[in-house]
Amino acid sequence: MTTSRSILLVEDNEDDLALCLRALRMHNVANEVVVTRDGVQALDYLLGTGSHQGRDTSDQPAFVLLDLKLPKVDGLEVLRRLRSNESTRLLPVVILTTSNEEQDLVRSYSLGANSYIRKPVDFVQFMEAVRQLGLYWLVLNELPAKRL
Amino acid sequence: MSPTKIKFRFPQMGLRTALVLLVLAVLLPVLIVQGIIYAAWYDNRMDSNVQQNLAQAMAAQMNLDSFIQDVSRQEIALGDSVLRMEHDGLPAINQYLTASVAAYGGTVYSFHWADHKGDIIASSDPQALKTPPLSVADRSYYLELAKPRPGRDWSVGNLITGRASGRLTFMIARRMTDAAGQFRGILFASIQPEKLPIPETIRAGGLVTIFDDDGRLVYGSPPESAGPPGNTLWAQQDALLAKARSASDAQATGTVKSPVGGQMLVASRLHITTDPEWIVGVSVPQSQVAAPLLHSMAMAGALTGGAALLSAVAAVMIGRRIITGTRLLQEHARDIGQGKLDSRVEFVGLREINQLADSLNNMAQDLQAGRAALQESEERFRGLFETMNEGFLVGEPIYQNGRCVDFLVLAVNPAYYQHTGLKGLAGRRIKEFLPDLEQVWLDRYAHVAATGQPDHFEDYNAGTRRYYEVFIYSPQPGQFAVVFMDVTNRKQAEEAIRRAQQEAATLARFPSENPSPVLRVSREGTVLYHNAASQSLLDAWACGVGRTLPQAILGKVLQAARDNTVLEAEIAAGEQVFSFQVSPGSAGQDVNIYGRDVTERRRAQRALQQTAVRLERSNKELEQFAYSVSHDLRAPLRSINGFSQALLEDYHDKLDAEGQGFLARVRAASQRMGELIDDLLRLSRVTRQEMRLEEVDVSAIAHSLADDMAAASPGRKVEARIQPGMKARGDSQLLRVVLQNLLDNAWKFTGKTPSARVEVGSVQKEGRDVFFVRDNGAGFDMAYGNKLFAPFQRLHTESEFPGTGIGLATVQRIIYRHGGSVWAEGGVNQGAVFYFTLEGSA
Repeated sequence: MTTSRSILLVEDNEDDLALCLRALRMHNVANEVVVTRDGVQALDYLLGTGSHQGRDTSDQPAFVLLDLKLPKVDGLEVLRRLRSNESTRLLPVVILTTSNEEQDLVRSYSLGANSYIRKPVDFVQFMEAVRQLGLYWLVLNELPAKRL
Repeated sequence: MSPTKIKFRFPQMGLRTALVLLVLAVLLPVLIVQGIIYAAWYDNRMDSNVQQNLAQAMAAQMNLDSFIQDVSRQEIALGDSVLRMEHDGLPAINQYLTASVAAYGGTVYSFHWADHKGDIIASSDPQALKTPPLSVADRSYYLELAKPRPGRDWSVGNLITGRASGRLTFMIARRMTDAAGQFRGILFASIQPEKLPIPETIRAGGLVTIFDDDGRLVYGSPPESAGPPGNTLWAQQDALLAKARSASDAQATGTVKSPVGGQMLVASRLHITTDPEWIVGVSVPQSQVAAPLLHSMAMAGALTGGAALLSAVAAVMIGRRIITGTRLLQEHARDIGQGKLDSRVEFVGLREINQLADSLNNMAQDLQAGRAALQESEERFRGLFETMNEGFLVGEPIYQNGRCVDFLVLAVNPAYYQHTGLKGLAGRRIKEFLPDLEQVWLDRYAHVAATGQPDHFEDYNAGTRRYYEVFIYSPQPGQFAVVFMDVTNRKQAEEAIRRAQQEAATLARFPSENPSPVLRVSREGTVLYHNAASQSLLDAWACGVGRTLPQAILGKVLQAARDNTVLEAEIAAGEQVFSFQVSPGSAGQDVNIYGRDVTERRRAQRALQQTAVRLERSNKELEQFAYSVSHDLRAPLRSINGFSQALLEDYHDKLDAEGQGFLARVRAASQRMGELIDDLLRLSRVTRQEMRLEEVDVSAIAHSLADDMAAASPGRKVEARIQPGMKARGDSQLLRVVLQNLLDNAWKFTGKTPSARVEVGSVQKEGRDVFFVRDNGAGFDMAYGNKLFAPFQRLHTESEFPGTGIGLATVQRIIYRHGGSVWAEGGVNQGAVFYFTLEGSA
């Protein structure tokens, strides 16, 4: 993969986390994967607040893989706060979740999600999904030069 | 509309006058500026001419001075030579002097030697040598030199007539002294003034004049402008000359009138150095100075005049166009005013006038359209007037002694004649036809005509035995219009209703047997009468005959009595709930109260409401549950599947074929469970989804599904027969799911059938549309027919025909939600038919 920027993975389920990391590794995604386990941590990391106070927020991940069902602050709220903040307004966010309820899809997209991917039960399909995600968001997709 | 006020009022003047004034207003400053420019130019030219004259005069002065000095210096040499030659004898001296004259080319006419007594003793001119000798002792130049003067031993004489030559001449003389310093007379030259060496360049510059001490003209070029030599005209008339002579070192410039010829001259006057009494002058005619100026002024004047003429012509032409345009517009406006609305004005060329013409044309057009519309509307109303069923008459009252005694019929429509049987009323007095017309009618009509207040009433005509509704209004002051219609039929119907109501009231006089409460109370709410069924109600109210009703219903009774209107009220009495109708009796007296026990109905309604609330709550819970299932059940499945795969990949070498097979089974099982969960969710969604009923084209849906399926499995050949024109009332999305599942099944279960056939159609059964999907596939054993629609129930193995067993359960749910029913018929290897009905389909 061409870019050296990191990927932020927001996932509270350890199994899913392990599988996701495995899928990324098996597709030779060399980018650093930052893992946060709830919505608060994810927001702190991206906005440089709380436990991540002082982090250089000009160095943002190439994209965020965001689960919807999260402890403390759920994924939709995380997405809403990212979109209302000037520094993360254009940050690509990919919803990666179990739910395929219509209302979750509608709400995610209306809050400004860039993609919505349902985690398949079958790991082979899951691997394929992760491979395409990496290819798309790390290689193919073009973003404005200055995102702020 | 009030007329617009004109704020600025210009003096009344014609357009032509205004335009001419405008041209003048432009021209005047141009002329003034031209005048200023020419004045400045003239001053400048005068000045430069004066300076030029002065320069020329200086040049002439220098020439004259240098000539005189030259001659006087020459005379020193001549004098010395003459004295030295004295012993050679006078003839030799005369010869010597004659030779010297030749050197001056004619300017010096002669040289003479006069001795100390003033007698000419030697000369270049033989005529000057006379016996006795000619004397110059009286001449000024001799007298000046006879006495020695320090610093000046030479002299220039004035213009005189030479004694020897008899010509006008002047002398340049020098005192002669010998070596011993003894005065020996004078040596002098007689000068021909006209030959003075004034160069051609100076003479070309203007009139050159030289005057002597007495102001006589010594030299003048050209002679015709200067006058004869020796004249004193200048000295007498030339003010500049006088001015120059009066001051020894001054120069004088300016204009002067020439004494010769009388033209105005621009002149300069200057002293010469060798004899400060002498004046040199140069002048040019003033007309020469002004000539280019006058030429230029003539040109400019011609141009300005030409421009003025052009402007004037243009102004007159524009004026004429505007005047022609306005005259056309005037005529057009007059035409419009006189009603010639088809009059149109041609365009006259000027834009503003054209716009005005345009506006007027539009106005005329609009007026024409308006008039056409008015005519049309008039015709329409005329048509209405002629064809309406109502009798219509317009009349004008005729007064006598302030009282209406008759009226003139102005207009009357056919319906009026029809209703009244009269004829030919228009233009006649009504009394000619109806001499007995009552005064009260005349007064009524006259009142409307006079006041404009409309009048409206109903009238029964005993003669025709019919009822009329009459409307009188005033179409314009002093006139009235009567419109009337025959309302006998309506009156009769009203009468019938009134009679029926009376009968009903009579019938209702027997409320005692009524199972519902009936009470009669006074207008103040005191119970006057009640039937047997009212007893429990009155007990609950602790009320009875002669007592006042409780507050709960008393208000309604008072209100109904006051407004004379029927009111409804629902009031609880003890355990029971009653619906009351409070109805004021006829003649505005007592009030009837009719009650109905609605206790049971209200209880049922409440129960229904509670059930609905519970249902909604449980629906919400179901939704929540489904959401959890979707999320929480799938997560562990993903782990099972994912880590089995990880095991297979990472520990491949540590597992034998059987172990790998087990893991493959684990993965397959978890996948299948994922599918089951998805199907289950889909099923629950079918139940939860909101329904939108509309007319659905069943045939179109079936066609599109069949096409999709044929496209999805191009390897298969399935004959699809779909009955055209099938319509149903239902939710189109859900009905699509029904047909999708049924067609999916049909497709699937004909997978092993040669020449597979799938059929969609409908039949009429007991007045309802029964839709069916039929196939000639694997079919099923009717013994298990009742299990078909249960979720996850399958009659075939997964390897035979794949599936989760949720499709038919979904179909059943949807059909139930539509209030219909679904059933199946079939046999093993004999195909299957699925029937369904929908509530709305008749």
